[in-house]
Amino acid sequence: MKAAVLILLTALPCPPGAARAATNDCFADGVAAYRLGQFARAARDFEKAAATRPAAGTLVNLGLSEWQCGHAGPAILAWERARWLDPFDARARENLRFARHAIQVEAPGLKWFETLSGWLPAGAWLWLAGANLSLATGLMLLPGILRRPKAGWHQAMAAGALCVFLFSLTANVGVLSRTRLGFVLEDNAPLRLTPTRDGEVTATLTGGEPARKLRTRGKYDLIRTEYGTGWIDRGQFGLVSGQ
Amino acid sequence: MRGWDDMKRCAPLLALAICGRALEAGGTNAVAPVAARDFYNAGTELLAAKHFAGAEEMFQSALAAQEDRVQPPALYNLGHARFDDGMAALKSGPSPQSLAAQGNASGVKAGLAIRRAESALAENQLSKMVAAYLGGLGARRELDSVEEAVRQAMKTCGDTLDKWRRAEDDFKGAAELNPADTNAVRNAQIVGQYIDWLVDSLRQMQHLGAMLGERHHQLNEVLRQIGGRIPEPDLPPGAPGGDQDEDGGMQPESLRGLKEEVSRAGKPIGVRLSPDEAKQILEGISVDDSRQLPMNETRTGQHREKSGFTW
Repeated sequence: MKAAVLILLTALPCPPGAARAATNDCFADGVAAYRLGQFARAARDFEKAAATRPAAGTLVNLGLSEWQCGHAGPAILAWERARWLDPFDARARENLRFARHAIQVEAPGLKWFETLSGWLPAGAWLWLAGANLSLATGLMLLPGILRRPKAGWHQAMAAGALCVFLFSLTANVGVLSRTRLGFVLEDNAPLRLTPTRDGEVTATLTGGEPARKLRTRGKYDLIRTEYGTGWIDRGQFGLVSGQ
Repeated sequence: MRGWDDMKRCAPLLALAICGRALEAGGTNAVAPVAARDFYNAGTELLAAKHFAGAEEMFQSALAAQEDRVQPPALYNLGHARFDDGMAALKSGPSPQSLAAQGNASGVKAGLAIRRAESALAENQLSKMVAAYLGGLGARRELDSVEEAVRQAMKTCGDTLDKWRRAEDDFKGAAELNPADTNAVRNAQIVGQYIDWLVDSLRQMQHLGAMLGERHHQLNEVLRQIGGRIPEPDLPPGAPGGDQDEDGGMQPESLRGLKEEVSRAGKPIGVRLSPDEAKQILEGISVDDSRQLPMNETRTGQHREKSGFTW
């Protein structure tokens, strides 16, 4: 298992033609730089590619480049973003498992509706909710508008669509809640008591540690971690949703 | 309907009982702070009462509540509490100036003792060596006490420095959160000046400690040399060994087997003391009257066989 994960980590990144990967110049440059062992340059190229056109493959490669540079925090964030876009991406999942084991950080603790929201890509739940609401409404209203008798299957399908709509509503709440989830980017990032430059340090965080953003003040984010609540410099913290 | 009437009759009594209970609770139990504002108020009261540690804790709790309105004043007062706490700790110990004077005096005394010991060694006279030895022990004892005082003062200064640095950051933070607060900026500057003064004092104490340590080392060295020259029977009572010799002093065991130095004529040096020398030696011996053992007139001093278990 470990060998498999190692192979996964050291393997070449996604080729430009891979599924869901952006096929722009930056991506190709990143792949070339990665193959040459220029991981810092590769990370920069993949970051540009991901900013232009976010894709799970690009983010997986970005994570690999960052990991090779020794930046565990940005690597974990990139793989988490890849899973945000594509929860079925096995490489991102395995890399996350390997990296967390290697640097001894925990995966974020999710509530049940957040776990549920991770079954599909974040955007898919909104589509699902909209489609099912439309379907249920259509099945309830269209027979009357078209002056046709309501069949039993109309009502059964409308009920089913309504159930799926309610289910996807819960998942959407989970997605919304997960937008507050983020990861510490730098090692030994200070968690301060106040949003000030010389604020008292209450804890020192490791890169890749999960936290939830509560609010912002100035150039600081108030986050809640397992070590308590405090302020962190915005540059040292990244949200999974990228917002 | 009757039940309702009964209830109406009992209502005033019930209300009276509830009010009494509430008044009693208010009179005897202080309400524990729960919100940031409560913590801030409690901290301010403690600060006014000069309970700095408690005030610091309260202000930290007020800050930890992360309430935007309370944070700037809580941070400002936290700076005050920390600065005052450091100042109180500093005032409780000896002042750096008096300590420096005391240290310099001890250093001079130790220097004199060293010179006397060196001249006694050069002259190779037992009586002078014994006197120098005793004088050296006294000087070393004084050095020990001053060194300990310097160590304690340096620790206090170090702790105060940490508190003042934190206080300076607190005032800066208060100014950062509320740019209109010019008092915080001014306080940060003042604390910075105090920090500079404290750092200077710490440096002086470090130099003093180093000087005293060097004198201590020299004194130990010269005492060791004298101790090697003085024959065991002539060693002053209580001079070697004991807790004064823990750092390189002469141990009783090391004196065993040493012979008295033989004079050029081949005869042992006789111990001839003039009345002045004897007086000097006697003055060098400190007698602790409070530690005298009680005299026992009945016990003959014979060894008593112990019977039974040894534990």
